[in-house]
Amino acid sequence: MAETITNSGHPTPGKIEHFEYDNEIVRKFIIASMVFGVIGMLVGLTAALQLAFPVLNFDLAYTTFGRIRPLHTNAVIFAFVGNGIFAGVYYSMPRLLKTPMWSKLLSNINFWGWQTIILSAAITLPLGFTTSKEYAELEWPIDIAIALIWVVFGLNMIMTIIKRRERHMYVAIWFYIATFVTVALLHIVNSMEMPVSMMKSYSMYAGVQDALVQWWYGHNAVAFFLTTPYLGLMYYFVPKAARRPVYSYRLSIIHFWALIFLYIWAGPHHLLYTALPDWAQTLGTAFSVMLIFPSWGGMINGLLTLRGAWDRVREEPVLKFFVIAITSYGMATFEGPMLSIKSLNAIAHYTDWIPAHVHVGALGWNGFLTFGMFYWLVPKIWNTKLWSSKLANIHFWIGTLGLLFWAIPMYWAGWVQASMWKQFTDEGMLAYPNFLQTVTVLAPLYKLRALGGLLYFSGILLAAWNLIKTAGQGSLTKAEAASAPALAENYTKHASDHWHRWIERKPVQFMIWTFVAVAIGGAIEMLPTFLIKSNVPTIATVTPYTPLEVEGRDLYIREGCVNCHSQMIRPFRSEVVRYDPNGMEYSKAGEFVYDHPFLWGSKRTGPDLHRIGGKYSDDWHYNHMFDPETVSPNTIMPRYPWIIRDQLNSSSLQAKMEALKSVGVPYTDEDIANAPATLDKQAAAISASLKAKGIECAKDREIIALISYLQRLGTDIHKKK
Amino acid sequence: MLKFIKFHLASIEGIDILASFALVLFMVIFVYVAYYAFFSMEKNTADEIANLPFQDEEIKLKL
Repeated sequence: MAETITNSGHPTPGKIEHFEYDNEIVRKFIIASMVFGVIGMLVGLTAALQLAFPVLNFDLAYTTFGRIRPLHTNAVIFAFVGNGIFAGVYYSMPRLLKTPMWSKLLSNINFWGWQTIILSAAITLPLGFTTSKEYAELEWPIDIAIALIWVVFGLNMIMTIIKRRERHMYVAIWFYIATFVTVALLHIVNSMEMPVSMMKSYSMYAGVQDALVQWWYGHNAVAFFLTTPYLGLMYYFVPKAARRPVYSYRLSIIHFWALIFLYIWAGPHHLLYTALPDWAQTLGTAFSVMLIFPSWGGMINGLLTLRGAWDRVREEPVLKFFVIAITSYGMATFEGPMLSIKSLNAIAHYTDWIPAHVHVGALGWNGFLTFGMFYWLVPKIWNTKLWSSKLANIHFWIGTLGLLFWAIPMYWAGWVQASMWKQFTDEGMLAYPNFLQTVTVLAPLYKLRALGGLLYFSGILLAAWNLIKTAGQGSLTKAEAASAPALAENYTKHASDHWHRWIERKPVQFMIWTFVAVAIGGAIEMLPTFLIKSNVPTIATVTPYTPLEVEGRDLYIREGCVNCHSQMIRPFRSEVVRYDPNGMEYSKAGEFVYDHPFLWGSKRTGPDLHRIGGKYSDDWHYNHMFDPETVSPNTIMPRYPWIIRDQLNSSSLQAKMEALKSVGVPYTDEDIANAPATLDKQAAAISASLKAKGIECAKDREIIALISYLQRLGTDIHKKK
Repeated sequence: MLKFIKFHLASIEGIDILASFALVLFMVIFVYVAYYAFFSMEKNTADEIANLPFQDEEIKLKL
């Protein structure tokens, strides 16, 4: 018997070995994914409703939009999708390699460690502990924990591959390897921070450099956390569910290398028309446009795997979910390159178009592939049939409708916003000079978006119920018995073997080449930006923030203002006239050299704030923060009564300045020694200015620090040296 | 070296060189991988590898 079983065409007369696949770990990750999926989507629905009905911010710090929006993104990306990835990988990888995971202990450390990280995020983000960098908001101790747990996952994976009983690594395994290598690289580089205290740090990088690193990370988090592992899952679960092999294994080879090589260059397309050097923007655009080819190669390969099985798509909900997932992947990866073209980006960037684009990928590609995978996996490991195909079909339709109701109104909103922002009258004036006009008009679309979110959320509730009932009627095989012939210890390369075929059987070498492929793009884009000063021209009048402004900036970060307000005026007439009508200056790279982290933002639910300094009086800011309605009727900005009420905690002020000094901000020892007195003096002046307008506000309140920061923003460039 | 990067690469004028280098590199990888996948790899091999996801079930049936 043993002699008849071969490994990929190379007869290996190995002894049959018996072992067990660990389904218990798969079960745990499925449960975690579904639980956090429900929570993450509920938080997302709440955030969507807050933009339609601001009263739902509840005037509470912990539930305000700026704090729960990152909670939503972290929950759905790292908890729902992250646990989904682990569930799929821990099921498919042992079966593709014909060996159990190398270490059950490491699998369980991976599981419990990841859930602890998610719990830490769920606690710290509403409390306002955030770095403010999108999808990397968690503070430094949690960053270290993420790195450690990721290494545990990677070690377990690599050792499993090394101990495999199948010589050839199937393409899904390549995508898992690329995911591990690249996410580790991205996370470590982007999380370089200087700690101030246990829950406060400053990015090592400043301004333009910080922006480049962040969006190199941010874009590739999409690429290597939301895409490559899911492509690996697609290459395993779609053939399994369709009961036919992938359409073209040859195409998948090109898909893999082209995708990972090109993706890493595309980050700067998030920074088009910003202060990022032009050459880096152009590189980002060029590679983003090229990216459509491997992306669509993968999509076509996935869809054509269903050739001859389309009749079953009508009957089987799993395949239905996969079809929408792959189609959404195709749509999102068509739209991404288009949005990277500068002329289209000039319209779409900062508008609601971008969340629409993101959600087609997230709800369609990640969500539906996860649901399809779970509908296939749960009956499989519980040895039963899906409890209700009808309910799964209802979920499919309600989810698809939810996706459409989410995305279409936001595409519409994006066009409306961009058109209103850019429109001039015949006299050459802005047609909609008050930014609020461009917000209130979107109210019906925001309500429709919330309806889409509600439908999609209802879908995951149905899925949870269906999967619970399925598990209830079956019996979990915790350890699934399997057998395979042992792999011959010594493998001799055949004369006819192509070099690539050889490397497909060498996991460590494969990992090194993957690293090389992804490191090239990042290095070429980042090193010059760091090494060459002319890429960030300095401006003589730009000076570091005062101690009070440092505290104010940290409050701005804590409250998540960056989620709705950009600080980047692009070099368009419509933006310069709107945001700096007197000075007529767009944002320059040299203005951000002391910004650790950068706060350019990626969305304008409210107006850009880069030149807000001096635009309004101190009392206007006070009233605006206390109750925005009093100065901006019909605004959707939340109230911030706690900032008015709470005392500023400046006990770590000098430690903050020391940390900033260590990352390059030129504070002198004297500046740091005198910081409390300098802060006190500036605070007293603002308190006095408020008193002159009839507002009694002690100088030690948080609002004083926030006002000082807002009044400083973008003013340096207009100073005379 | 730094001067070369500064004046010839990390500038909008140097974009041609950088992008050309990257494109050449990409084309080399692409052509190489395409040659391997479509010309060097035998059909039987590709089919066999594509069937790997089903081998766990096949083994069970055989045993």
